Amino acid sequence: MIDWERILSHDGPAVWRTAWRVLGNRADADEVFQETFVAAVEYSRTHTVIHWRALLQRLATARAIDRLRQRVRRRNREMPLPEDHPETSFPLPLQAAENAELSATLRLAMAEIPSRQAEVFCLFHLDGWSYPEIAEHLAISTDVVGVWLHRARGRLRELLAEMNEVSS
Amino acid sequence: MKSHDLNGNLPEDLLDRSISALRNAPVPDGPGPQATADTLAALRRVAGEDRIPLNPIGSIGLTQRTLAMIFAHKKLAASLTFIVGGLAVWSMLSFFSSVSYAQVAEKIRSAHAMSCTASVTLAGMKEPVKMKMYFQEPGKLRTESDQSVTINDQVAGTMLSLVHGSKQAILVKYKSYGLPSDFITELRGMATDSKSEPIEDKQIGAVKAKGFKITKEAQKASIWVDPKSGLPLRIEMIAPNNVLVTMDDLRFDPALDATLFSLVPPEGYKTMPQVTLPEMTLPANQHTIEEHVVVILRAYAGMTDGNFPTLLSDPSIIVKIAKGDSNGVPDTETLLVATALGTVFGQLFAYEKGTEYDYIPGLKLGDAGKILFWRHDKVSGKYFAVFGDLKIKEVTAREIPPAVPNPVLPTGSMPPSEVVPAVPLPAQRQPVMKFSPIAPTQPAVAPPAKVIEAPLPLPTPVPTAPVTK
Repeated sequence: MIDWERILSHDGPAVWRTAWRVLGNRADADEVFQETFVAAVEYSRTHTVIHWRALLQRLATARAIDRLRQRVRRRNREMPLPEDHPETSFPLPLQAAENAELSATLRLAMAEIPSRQAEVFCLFHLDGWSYPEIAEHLAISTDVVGVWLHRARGRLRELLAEMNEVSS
Repeated sequence: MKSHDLNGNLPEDLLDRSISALRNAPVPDGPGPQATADTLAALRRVAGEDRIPLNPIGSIGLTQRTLAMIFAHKKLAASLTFIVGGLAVWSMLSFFSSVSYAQVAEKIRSAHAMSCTASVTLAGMKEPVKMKMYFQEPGKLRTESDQSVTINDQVAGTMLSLVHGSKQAILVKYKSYGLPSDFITELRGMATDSKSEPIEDKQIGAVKAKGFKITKEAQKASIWVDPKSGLPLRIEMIAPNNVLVTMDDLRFDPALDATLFSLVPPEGYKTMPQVTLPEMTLPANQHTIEEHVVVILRAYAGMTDGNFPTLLSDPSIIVKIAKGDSNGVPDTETLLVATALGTVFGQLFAYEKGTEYDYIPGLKLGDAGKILFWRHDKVSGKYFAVFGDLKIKEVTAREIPPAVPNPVLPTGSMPPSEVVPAVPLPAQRQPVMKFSPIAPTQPAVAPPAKVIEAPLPLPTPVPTAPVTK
């Protein structure tokens, strides 16, 4: 019998932060958080899970990217979506403001690259996973991890340059 | 990589600077108490409702998982109610409008109420979606599933959806157009030109039921009848995309308590803000199938980076497009797509896949020159197609692409005589067209297609049939 309450309390905060970092928005992170755990229940019915946090972070990353892509598409149709910044209750220092802008732009760009590449990119750069860890969890070779990461970085670099050019 | 070798200096590369900014941005500690409580409740609900035996080889299908996700997610639960209810209602309406063998017809013709247990099995699904349905003249329908109850009154133009998990009551108001698809009326108007032939008897409960195979145009069904009462005990039929619909425990003129059709939310349910559907410009049955198809595909493509679904009448499509407010009430677009899904599913009953209609997966939004869906209209004899840019055009038979094989139901879940084998496509597929053979002297180039319309924005919903809810 899986002790979901313990897993939720032990690993939940880290999983939620994974989603938040990709989305930058509490409401979306909450949704992804819940979807992630429900998906983990389904996954556990057919698989033996040893490292719950890793599984949950991977699921959360994939769902957060999906949500990010939906949000960006919807934003293009409707209006910009608000992003949470813990320090928005007072004016941002110049460096913090610049970092917030860089983060927001990178999120937009991540929504434009293929989902699997974005997933590998986030797991490596934001969650600090190694190539072998990513390869194991995504059931791909380390070579493929390297290729996808390389492609993701290349495309993101182009997108950021374009966005930077437009904004300037 | 630079972003992994931070030494205190900001990297010059814009990408690495952005990665560094995002990775080092302040992050809240974790979810709030409400999000944690909601997630724990969802976990308990999903884990507790798990009636599927654990299977070490991973045989739980995608649809099963998708449905579980829907049930667990409060924002999507109401949407599923519309879809599941819609599928079954349309299935029954379509079927009964064509059943016509004398032994059963008279019994049904005199009925003013009916109840049954319906189950719907989709390709890839191990367990069917089951529901209990009650019909009462005039125009009342109640659909019960484990997760929800939906009560629809076509005369009042009101539908009440009760979601058990979240204890929510959602009231939907729509403009009533009378009873163009009233179930009992459909029963009485049964056609008389269908063919029936005996099939193998089947033991159903204590009764050795007599079997019939009924065929009318593209519609096929197997019926097992109680030889003493002459009433059907079980009906099985194949819907578009090899969806199996089974109806058991059929009862005609049962004593149905009026409270079954009450539109007043029961105690303990939180009444959510009322949803009012915009008034229609046309009743449901005056919208073309193609217009409904476009509604589904446009919404799907909008949420999936321009892709189209693998199957057209797959209820899990709603997962991709469902949106709602924080109270779990689906938004208007979700309702419209749910409506269109149910309508397409039901109307395609009357058409044979591959020869009278087809859906061609694998295209992307914008593939203007490629046909995504086509149908041979039985009344006008014309061919209509939806193209990759979601334009509806009249086309010629020669423009119709090759037939696409059906998906396959789980082994043993379909009447053997009706199983459509899934075969790999030959390298050079030929269209399966029993209509309009191409004369060798015809010119190779088809005449320009005539643009009928591009139904933008989304058409109004379809309130005249229970399927719409």
